[in-house]
Amino acid sequence: MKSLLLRLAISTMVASAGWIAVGPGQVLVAAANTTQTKALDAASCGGLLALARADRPRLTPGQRAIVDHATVNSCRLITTMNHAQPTSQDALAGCSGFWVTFSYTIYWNNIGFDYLKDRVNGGFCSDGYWVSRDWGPDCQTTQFWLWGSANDWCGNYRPNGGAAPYLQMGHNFHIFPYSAPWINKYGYSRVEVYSNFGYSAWGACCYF
Amino acid sequence: MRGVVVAASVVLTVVVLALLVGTFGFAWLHVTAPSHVEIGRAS
Repeated sequence: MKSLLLRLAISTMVASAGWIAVGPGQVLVAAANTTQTKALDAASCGGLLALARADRPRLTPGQRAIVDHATVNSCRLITTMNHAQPTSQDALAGCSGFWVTFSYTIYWNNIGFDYLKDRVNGGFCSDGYWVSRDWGPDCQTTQFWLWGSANDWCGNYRPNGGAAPYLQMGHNFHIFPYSAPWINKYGYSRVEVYSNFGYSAWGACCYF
Repeated sequence: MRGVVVAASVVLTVVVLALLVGTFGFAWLHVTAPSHVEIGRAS
């Protein structure tokens, strides 16, 4: 890698005097988005200085002054780290389905009874940043057999006024007793899916 | 005839009790978060 950079630096310098003088007695080899600078060994630096001096007619007066005063310890090699690195989010780009069940339970002597279950299922796709709908959501509420339920809203919602890169799927519903179907209590479920297919789920029931 | 009356009374009692359980059970409901949330995921 080092020799490759060095060859690149030499060819760049020969072709266009692309090295940069940054101060008295210092010569920087290669110029790009830099992240790491280290001293170049004396032999390589001497070779580069020889090339630079051979290219003297193409140098500016300032560059000539620096090259003339540079020593074999004056060179700094800058390694560039501007390659696009795949992130964990990139690796998770694709589509995924979520099947989410919200259970509301009462317990008696450690025996649980689910008096209400709300299911929200949906599929999402992510390009590593932006989450979009794939399918659904499909919503279903099941409740104690003496009660009924009805769907108020089942859909996707993008927070922040539609600007958020993540997406929510949600269900609003209400339940009622068959004995008095005009009395309703309301509940909701939400599942927020992020670009790496992480998620948050929350909900509540049952309020007037 | 008496048997039919008894059977009808039993059925009616069961229905009334069920409606009472449903109604009072519904009235008992209060706002709460889910007891648990299960999430299945498939790529």
